[in-house]
Amino acid sequence: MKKLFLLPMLCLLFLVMSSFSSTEVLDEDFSTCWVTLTYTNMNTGESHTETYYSNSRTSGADCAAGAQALANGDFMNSSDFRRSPVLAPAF
Amino acid sequence: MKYFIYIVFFCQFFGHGQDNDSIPIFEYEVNYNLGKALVKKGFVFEYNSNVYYNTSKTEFIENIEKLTTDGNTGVPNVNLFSAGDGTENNVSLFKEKIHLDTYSLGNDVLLTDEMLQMQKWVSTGHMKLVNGRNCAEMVSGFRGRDYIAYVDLTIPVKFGPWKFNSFPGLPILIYDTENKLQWTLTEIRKKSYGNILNFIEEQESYLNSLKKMTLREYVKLYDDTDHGHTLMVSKLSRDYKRENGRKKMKREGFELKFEWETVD
Repeated sequence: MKKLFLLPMLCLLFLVMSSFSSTEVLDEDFSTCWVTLTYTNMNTGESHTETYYSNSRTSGADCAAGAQALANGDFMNSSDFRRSPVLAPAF
Repeated sequence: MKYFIYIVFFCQFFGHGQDNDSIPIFEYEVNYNLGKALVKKGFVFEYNSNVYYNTSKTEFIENIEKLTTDGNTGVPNVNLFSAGDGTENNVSLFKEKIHLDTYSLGNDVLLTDEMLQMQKWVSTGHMKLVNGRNCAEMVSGFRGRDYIAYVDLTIPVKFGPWKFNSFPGLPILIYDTENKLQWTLTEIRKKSYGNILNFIEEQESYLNSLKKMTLREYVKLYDDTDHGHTLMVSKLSRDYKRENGRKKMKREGFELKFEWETVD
């Protein structure tokens, strides 16, 4: 009786857990996500650019999403970026 | 006859300024090229021994998108802007010898106060026709920049846009010798006292709403935060902030050197 109850419960647990699995496609060639931030002073137009990078991004699309989050001021979803001491490389 | 024409001219001018119900507003086209080139309109007038200067909002010459991709590197570029719309507000209180100014830095527009600096304009002896007016060429230095002004000596106005003062006439064109800053007189209009008083009241209320500090405190903040850049990204991880030992960025704004700093 106990086994009869446990088996469907385990199946149910498996189904629930498997629904959490990510469908994200990893880009094998993707390594570092580079983004530049240009800060411009509204009064004077003074402007300068800094380069940032993230090693947590898994694909070009994920990197673009990080840049978009930065552009939207959504710092929760872009806090993995770090200031880079070097300029972003050309691709 | 010649003297009569002069008398009529000056009567007209003073009448222009001291009409019972209006005072002259001097309108300038303002061009800055300190990074992203921009244009705006500046308005300056004198009321009750104070000089008021304010500008319209900033209009960048090039269209700047929030998010772009660099054509050469393919790297996404995020454009961040400091607070405000670029409107400048300056008040020179000549009796108190204080100058008030607004600065945009990071996520704040700040109100600063400083000792009013009186400039010394020296004539080069050259005369030039500028905007249809016969002007005397004058030079002066102010906080690390050298300026050239073309002044119409026939109009007895001592003040100019921004922090400029002590002219022997009306400045028609002022620019710095690096051609990064320029103010060009475009129009002289009259505004009623009612309008002026309303403006002063609204400006006072706006200035009182801002965070206040001395110019010296502002300059330290400007230097310590990479000109406000690190203030914009302060919600990010600590690596965004200035690393220890990192060199201060070279100043690129209007003012490059201040009177309290040692001269090299």
